[in-house]
Amino acid sequence: MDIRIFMKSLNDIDIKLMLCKSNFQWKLLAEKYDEAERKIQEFYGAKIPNELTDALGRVRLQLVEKKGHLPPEDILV
Amino acid sequence: MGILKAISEAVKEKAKEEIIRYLKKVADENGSRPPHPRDRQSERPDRHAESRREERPYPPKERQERTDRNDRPDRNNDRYDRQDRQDQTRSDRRPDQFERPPHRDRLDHADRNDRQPERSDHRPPRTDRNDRYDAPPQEHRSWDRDREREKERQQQHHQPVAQRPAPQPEPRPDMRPPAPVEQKKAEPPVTPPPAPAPQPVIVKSQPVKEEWIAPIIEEPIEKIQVTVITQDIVIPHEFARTLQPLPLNEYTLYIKLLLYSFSIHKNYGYLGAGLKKSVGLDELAQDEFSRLLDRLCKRGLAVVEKISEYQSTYALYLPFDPETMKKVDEKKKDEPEAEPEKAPRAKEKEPARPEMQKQPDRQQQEGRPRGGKKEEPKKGKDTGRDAKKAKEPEKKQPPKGRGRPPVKERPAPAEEPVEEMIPGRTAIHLDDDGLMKAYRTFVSMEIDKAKMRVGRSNFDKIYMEAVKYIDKKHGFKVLSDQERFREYLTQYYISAFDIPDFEAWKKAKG
Repeated sequence: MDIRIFMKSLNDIDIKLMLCKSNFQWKLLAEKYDEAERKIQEFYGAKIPNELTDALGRVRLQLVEKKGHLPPEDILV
Repeated sequence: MGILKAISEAVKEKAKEEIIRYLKKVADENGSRPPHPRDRQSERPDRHAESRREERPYPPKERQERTDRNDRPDRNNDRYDRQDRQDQTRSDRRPDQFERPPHRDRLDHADRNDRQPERSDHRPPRTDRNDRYDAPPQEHRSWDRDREREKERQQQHHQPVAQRPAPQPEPRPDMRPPAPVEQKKAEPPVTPPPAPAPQPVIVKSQPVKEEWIAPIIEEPIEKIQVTVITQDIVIPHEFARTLQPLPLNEYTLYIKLLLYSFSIHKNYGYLGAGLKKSVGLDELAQDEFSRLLDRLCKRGLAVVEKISEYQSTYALYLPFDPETMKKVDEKKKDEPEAEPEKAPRAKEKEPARPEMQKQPDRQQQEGRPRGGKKEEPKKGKDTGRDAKKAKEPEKKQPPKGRGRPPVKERPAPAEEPVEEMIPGRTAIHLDDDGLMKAYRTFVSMEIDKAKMRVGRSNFDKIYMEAVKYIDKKHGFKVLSDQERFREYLTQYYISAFDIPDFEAWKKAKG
């Protein structure tokens, strides 16, 4: 049951990521991902189920790719 | 013998009369229809036949003798009999199996066409006929010739009708023989006016007259950096009254730009969507924004300079109040090279410079850089990414230069002189912070150059790789941290595009 809840939150991020159009939206999703990851680690500790680990890795990869597809943020100058 | 001759003569005469009567009757029955050539032949008074008939006795003696001698008539050899048969009318003749078929159909058909010209008159005149080939071959149609002769005869005897001119075949326009040259020369070529061809409707766009707008500020506009002593924005009363008659849009734009200028402590910057967004006119269309800015320029409240094909800068008229404002200007003596970039209007007004421009010179003479300025002019990056910035609400009003991490070895932020980062102006005699800002500008321009060099798609790929690299090396959370992400991204670009680092750049600059 807990796995399903966590998986649902990760899937929500995954789906919303497809509709993400700006860095601001991406940032909100990234924060959601961080929150979900933190909760998972708090709940499972070091024994995170493989299913959740895979989902976390997948969502993170998609977040990174999405960040790369979004308009580049200003450089430092 | 004499009696017999008289009797034969009488019989002959009677037969002749009967034949004539019969022929007349047939002719009446047929009406206007001329008789068949064969009938005509029989009807026509053939003098030779008559003379033959008159000459020879009827019945001929030989025949009488033969009949007397033998009752079987030898038809094949009896030419008189044949001649008589020809003279008989068709109705009197019995069909003979040895006679040639009369081909009535063909003849009737031909005659019908020939005899009823009025029927063919109902047809529309042919325009495609070739007279040379369509003309009836009269020399081959003897019956037509005969009929015409007969007609002429009848016309002469009975009704002298006015001769109808022979129908001239209407010459085809394309077959018309060319007029003689003399005629052409004599007559001036009367060419009918050509039919008015449907001319394409060309809507001539009226040249848009530039609206003349009276300038309300005659003073030239100088790019300055200012600090406000009291932290309050003060607009002189007289200037406020001058601004009052401005239209709402222009007034709004100017006030917004003025407030923005105070916020960034300078009255110039790059034009683009970033500026529009920064002044709070994100919803305004770019065209409208440009139009309003143009009107402000005409009113003398702003100056727009095009520094490159894609980049333009603006300078806003800033009412300078020496009591509440301080100018921070690093105008150099070697500025003539930068002066051509100024607006021509500003150049014209050069001799009548107000105190607003004199003060920077004074400050230059003092050589004392003003502190408290952290403003950095945005270089090409601004215009290149204005459209992208517009999509990012989180970067609505990024305070320029504030909170930005150093590139590599950033000196401690302190009260340092501000460098004027107008493109084309060289910054020399700067301290480390000034050099750092100049280096940032340099890096920004180098990245812009690289972006143009590699192309947009390749640059996007590089950005993607940079994001992945930063995620791997610095962790996912860095991607969410805007400042750190920018820093790492700049470092990545510096490495990717072989941009010299700060020390190397400083040495190269001397």
